[in-house]
Amino acid sequence: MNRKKYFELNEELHTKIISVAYGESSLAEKIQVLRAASKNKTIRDLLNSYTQTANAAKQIREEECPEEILNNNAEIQKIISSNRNSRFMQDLYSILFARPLVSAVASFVIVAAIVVSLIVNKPIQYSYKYSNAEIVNADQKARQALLIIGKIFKDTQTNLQNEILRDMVAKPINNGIGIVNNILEGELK
Amino acid sequence: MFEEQRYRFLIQQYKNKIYTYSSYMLKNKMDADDVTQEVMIRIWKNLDKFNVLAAKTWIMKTTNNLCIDYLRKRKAAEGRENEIDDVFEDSYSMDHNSNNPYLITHFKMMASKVKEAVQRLPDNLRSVFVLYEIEELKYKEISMALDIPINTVKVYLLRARKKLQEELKEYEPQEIF
Repeated sequence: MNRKKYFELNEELHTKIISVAYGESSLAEKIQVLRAASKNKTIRDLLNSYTQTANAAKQIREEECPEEILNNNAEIQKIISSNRNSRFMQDLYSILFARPLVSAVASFVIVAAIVVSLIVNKPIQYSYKYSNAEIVNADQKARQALLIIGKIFKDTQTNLQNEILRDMVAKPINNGIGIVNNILEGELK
Repeated sequence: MFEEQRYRFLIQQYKNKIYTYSSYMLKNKMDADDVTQEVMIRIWKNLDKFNVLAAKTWIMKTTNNLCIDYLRKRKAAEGRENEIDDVFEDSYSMDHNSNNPYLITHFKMMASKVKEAVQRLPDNLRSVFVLYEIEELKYKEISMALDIPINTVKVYLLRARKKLQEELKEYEPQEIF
């Protein structure tokens, strides 16, 4: 019984049909109406007709105000034609101040540009200036230090390969394998 | 200097809205022209009374009040109402995706029928419908412009949609769902 009433057209469902047709319904309402429309042809036809009307209504646009309304009225012309030279100011005003979003974005861009330019172009201050001889001396000492470090790495590599890996790793492993072989050979015999 | 600039900005921004609303409410081009001019003059005279960024409500309220005054004064004349069809002929959007000539023609005819049906709505329902569907004002803005509660706006809009549907019953719908 409840299932049958659910798909019957009543005032509440009629209102929801209109909301769905005009695109103002919630998802739950839309689902309910579409389900009802799938079960009841009357509801489906009603939804279709409302949707047609809603789509047609959305197509309607504002009328263009004829220019002669402004041109044919002396009082309006008197107001509009004064200060024609300040058109640039009018456009600037309307762009910057009459549209808050544009104004906010423009302000942000200007402030960001100023801050970035201050950071990027900030001159580095040297408290002490070195002479050429001091720079050459420091360069030589750096090279010597690098040479020493290179020698240490080389010695370490040689030591690792020839002594540590050979004597302390490979030899004991080979000995161990030899012992295991001897044991296995003894068992097999 | 800034007063003139503000005024010109307002005129450019709202002249179409004023003219459209007047046309639908008065159903007569000459009266709509008169109301539009009168509203523009009143905007200039009251420029310091409202914020430029929130002028929409004030302007639509003034337009509505003037339209009501005209409707009260004017005598009904069917010959004058027939002029409206020429005014409204081409003012609908063709930005739907179909290139099908049948569908394009169908949409044109539907929009034309809807416009005629809107003009047959009672004044109180017509004003809300035009402000919401065509002028795209929000409920709160309509409430302030017409000086009625928001719930009344919603009720009038619902009634307008139902009444519109009754007017269009004779026009055959296509299957959508």
